[in-house]
Amino acid sequence: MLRVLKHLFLKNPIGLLSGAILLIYVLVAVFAPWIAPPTPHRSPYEIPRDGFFIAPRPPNADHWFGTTEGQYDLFYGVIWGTRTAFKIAAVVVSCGFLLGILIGGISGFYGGVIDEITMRITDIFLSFPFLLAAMVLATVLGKGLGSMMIALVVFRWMTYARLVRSEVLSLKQITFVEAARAVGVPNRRILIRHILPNCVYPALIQASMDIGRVVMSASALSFLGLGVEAGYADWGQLISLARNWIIGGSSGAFQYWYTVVFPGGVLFLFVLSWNIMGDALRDIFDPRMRGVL
Amino acid sequence: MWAYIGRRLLIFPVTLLGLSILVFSLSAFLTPAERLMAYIHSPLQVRGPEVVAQLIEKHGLNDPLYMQYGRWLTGVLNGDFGFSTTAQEPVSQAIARRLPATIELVLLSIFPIIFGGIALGVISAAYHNKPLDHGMRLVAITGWSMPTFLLALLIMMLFYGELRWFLPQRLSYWAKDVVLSADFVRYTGMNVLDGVLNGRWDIVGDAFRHLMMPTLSLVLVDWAALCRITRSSMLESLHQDYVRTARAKGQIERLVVFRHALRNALLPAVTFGGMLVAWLLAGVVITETIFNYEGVGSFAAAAAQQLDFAGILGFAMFFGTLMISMNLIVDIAYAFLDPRVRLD
Repeated sequence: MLRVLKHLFLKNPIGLLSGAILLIYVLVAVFAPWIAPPTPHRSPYEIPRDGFFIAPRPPNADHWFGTTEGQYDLFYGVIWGTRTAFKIAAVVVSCGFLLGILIGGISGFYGGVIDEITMRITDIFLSFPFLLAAMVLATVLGKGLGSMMIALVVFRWMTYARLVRSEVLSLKQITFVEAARAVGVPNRRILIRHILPNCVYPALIQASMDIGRVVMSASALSFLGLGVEAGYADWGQLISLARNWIIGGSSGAFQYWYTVVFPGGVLFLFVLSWNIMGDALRDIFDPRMRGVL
Repeated sequence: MWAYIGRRLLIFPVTLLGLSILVFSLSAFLTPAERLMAYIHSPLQVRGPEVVAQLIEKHGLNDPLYMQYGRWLTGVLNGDFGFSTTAQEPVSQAIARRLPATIELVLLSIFPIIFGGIALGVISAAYHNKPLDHGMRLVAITGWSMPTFLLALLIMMLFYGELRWFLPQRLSYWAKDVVLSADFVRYTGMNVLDGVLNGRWDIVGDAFRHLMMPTLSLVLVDWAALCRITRSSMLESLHQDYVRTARAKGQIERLVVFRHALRNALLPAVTFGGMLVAWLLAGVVITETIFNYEGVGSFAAAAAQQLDFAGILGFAMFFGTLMISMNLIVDIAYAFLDPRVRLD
């Protein structure tokens, strides 16, 4: 563990920077109720509105980042949107990860017909571009954070399944597994106790690289109006509210810059930091690939 | 090799069947009334709850699922995907009418993406761990982390809002009048090509002005991705023994990179073909929507937003088939290019 941290941060200044940025995001998410106190008796994820005037208003003392279309407070939305982003990342990546390990593990371990069938099913799920697949499913399931997360999970397990399957295939031949089998350990126990713990690392690295992607796709769904409900604190939703104001107004194209720069910048930095982090982790666990990407 | 290709060809219809089951099972989440929308051509057809119940009965939407699936599949095989409420026409017709616009956009983007992305990746790998490489890696991961919809909005802000160089939608009003007039022949439905064939260079210019923003957003994002992949594949082959041999015998570095390393590095690049199509399809939905470009992508987004289930499921079926066919082509091309695959 110490070795990992040393490689991750001390030997890699950009990795250190992205780690620091992510730490700030974590702190913002944890301390959101203190940074942007929610209105009492309201869901904290509901962005407060200052009136119903349509056009956005620039940053001022009351609204540090200004307000966007419909007077939603951008600062509040950005702060609580951080929690939404972590929530989506945690739920989607961990569920997809577990599902993938389970399917890939069973497929690789039992082999034969089971393997053939599961891998064909995996191929079919992979035949959609991730975002489009999630878009179709989210449409059918209806609006809301929950159904959006389900839609993302359903199409996010295949990479893990394939990784784990190929690891299991090579581990099956290894001496300690044969030894376990020789002393009569039941199949299920061999799979769970001996094989799976040894093959999760590639999938874990993949998971860290997926977090940015998943949050990005979730934002894209919200942007298209297929994600969270209106007024829910979510970066993609805030960016979609900037759409009508993107070409500016009477005082130039950049008149409403704050409507896109704050939520967009926060989303971009979040994805970028996770991607750099994922690359750095991969370099450590897979020395063969070091410096390759 | 023929056994391998044969096996792939045999699996192809099975995969398609699986796709149809997947898409159909998505519609099982819907209530019969919602599924009825695929059969309704005009709101006037639905007058009151009794009529709805009658229509549900008539189209057999309360039947067991396997019977409904059989009927649906028969329809799909005959090109009948139902009626799209967004487009106010049958889904297949709506897709067919918008397809040329999307093909035009994809064709314009795909060559810069492939050549630019590969060139950037090769340069980055050739200067491995030099400042140029570090700089390009940083740019690539920045582009890779940039959500398409955010980039598209920023492009819109700069090139349309501020500079007025490029325009949203497909054509300006005056150009639309020309294109729809009787003496302009629509050969392909692609504005640039039709403009050239009709000898109307003003139309060609106008079409380009409208195509530039979506093209730019697709190209920039996918450049970053392809650059990363090419670079890693290139570095792997630059570390191979045959490259060391080539260097040892005193081969010029340029030839080592291009003749020895690149050729082998591009082999896995064939698989990018499938991935690239996937990226472009996803990108097209976002960019067409943002720039109001009337293609298949913006149709899908509109269908999803307006809960046009026939439209969205038809789109899924259409593009799933496209992707599976693309993967088949990639697999077969791979068998021809890589002798190791044939021996499997």
